[in-house]
Amino acid sequence: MKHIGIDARLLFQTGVGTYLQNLLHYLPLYASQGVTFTFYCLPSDAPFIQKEVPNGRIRTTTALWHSWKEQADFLRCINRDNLDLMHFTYFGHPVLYRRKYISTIHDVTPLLFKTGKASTKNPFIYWTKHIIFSLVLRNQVEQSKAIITPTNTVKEQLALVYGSSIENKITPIYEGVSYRLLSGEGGKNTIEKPYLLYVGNFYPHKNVEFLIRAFAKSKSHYSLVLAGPHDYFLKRILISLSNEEKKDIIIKDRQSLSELVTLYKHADALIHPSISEGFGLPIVEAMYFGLPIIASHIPVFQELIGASYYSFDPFEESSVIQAIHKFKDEKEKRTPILRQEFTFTDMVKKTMDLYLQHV
Amino acid sequence: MKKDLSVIILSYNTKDLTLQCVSQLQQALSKSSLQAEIIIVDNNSKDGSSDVLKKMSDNSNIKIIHNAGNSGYGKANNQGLALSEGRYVLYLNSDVLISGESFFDTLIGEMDSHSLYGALTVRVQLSSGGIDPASHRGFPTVWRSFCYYAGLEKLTAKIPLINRLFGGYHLTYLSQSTKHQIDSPTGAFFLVRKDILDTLEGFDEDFFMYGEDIDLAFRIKRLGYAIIYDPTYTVLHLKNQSGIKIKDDITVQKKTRKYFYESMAIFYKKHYEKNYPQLISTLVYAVINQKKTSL
Repeated sequence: MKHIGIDARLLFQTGVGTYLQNLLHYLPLYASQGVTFTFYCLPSDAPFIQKEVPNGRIRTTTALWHSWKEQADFLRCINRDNLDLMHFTYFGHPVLYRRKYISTIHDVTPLLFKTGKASTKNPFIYWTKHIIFSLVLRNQVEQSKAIITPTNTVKEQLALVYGSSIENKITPIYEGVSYRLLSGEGGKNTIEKPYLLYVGNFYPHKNVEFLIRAFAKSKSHYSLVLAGPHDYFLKRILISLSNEEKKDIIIKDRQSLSELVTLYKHADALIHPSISEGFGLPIVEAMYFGLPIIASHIPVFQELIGASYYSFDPFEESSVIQAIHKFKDEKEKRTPILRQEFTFTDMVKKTMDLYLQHV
Repeated sequence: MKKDLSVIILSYNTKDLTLQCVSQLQQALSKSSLQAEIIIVDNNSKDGSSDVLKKMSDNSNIKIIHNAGNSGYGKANNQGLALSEGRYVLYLNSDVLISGESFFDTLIGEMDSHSLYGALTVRVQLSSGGIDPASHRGFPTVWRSFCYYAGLEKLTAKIPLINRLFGGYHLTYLSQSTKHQIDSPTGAFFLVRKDILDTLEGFDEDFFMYGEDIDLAFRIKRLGYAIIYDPTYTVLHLKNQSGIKIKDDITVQKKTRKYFYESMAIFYKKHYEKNYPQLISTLVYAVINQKKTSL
């Protein structure tokens, strides 16, 4: 019997949470005989895992990612289990762990930009943390037996940073539309005007403030609906905008899954101004709901959507305005087709293959 | 899109060179399996180039644009871009010679297999044998430019680690014999994905000459694409032979110098001013202005 461990501590974080929930949800479908799983999670998340994978063992830990406790307590916790293979599902791992492991690296954005919570720290703390982060990540990249990335773009980015010698151990595996969204019903549309939809958080690299300013100048007849957490980052954006700029903005925070489905179903298009992504869950979701996409011309979006979207330079207002008008004026809207590889069942199947290859 | 590659060449008073450049290019392209086209934009040359170009236009894969005046490097290249049908665009100077084995198949293959590569250049060699420093540049931040103009870069070019600090203008700490990322190539040989150029709308026409290539590279890189220097292949750049007998003509020389420093100021204003305190910016503009008028 081979014993595989999965780090599920980030089960309810945005982005990576969706990845983990789906990995767990479909795992029983593909789990082969002769393999047992242990899941490491926060105490509050144990019931969820129990439900999704009844046969799995669960170990709870209070050691959060990117903490000192992760390096000591979490290390002890996984060492105790003598795993044949460990899967770290995020960057951040106990650097002294010596047994065989594979990693999922979702995104190199934190290596490239000061963003997310990090952007709120003072420069000294930020740079100290950044240096430690870079060292830990380098160790993880070098020591992992295999690395999963959500796109080929992230694979190439890692190869540029760490040298092409690591290319052979990186397998890009696409993600898809969450099972929770697939089963969502959706309700009645309550938004009067036709609208463009943004889905995601409001970290600086998502570039939403820039989008709002450009959108206001575009004087299109749309509203702009922002679906994401009403947190510090959104508040900061709203403070910096004039009333004129906020006129056609509708904020939908903490929406339920069914509300999100409703938003997708009635939107005219998805709009996404991000300057860096590892994948794009909202992009794939928009494809699933048959929406046209207006988005930045960045390598990841080009890989996911190809030429079938309205692309713009996310640093030039005029470019965004042009893209919105092009979308508005075109009679036959360009609409991307959801590619077959963009499913989480496929993702879990390929991940399972990788486990078996390395266990 | 019907073609793989569109080569765009600006012609301005370089009749003989243009002829040589295009015939060598034609030869190289004919040995490749690519669907390629050559677009030549003439900015009202006075040396009889137009007769030579007329003859070339008999070739089915050559398109020629004749302009009534000289509207600048960026604008002319953008005219070429508007006509181009390739998946890739190669900006090539009329004084660049491609000889020996044709490398276009492998070059395009390399771009095709790396979707993260937004642009690429090869080893652009000068007649003296060394590489054209402009083909291996870092973005000209205030610190890097200062080190370069103060001579610190040259002084420390061969000293490991120290050259990292002082050699950012030409990335002197990176080996010229290995493939790696750079900030900006020279517009003399600049291969770019067409889809990126469409979104960025090519060169910024505010630059008349000089600097528009760094500006384009800057805008490509901030989208998250890499720009690659690949010295596996070499082209020859017969620099400083365009323009009418530059060395003898002081007014042309003055004008060239003026454009160079004006470009520097435009670039600074566009990309860097917001990152620096007002005092530094004032100083930067003062130095640029002084350089511009000191001839």
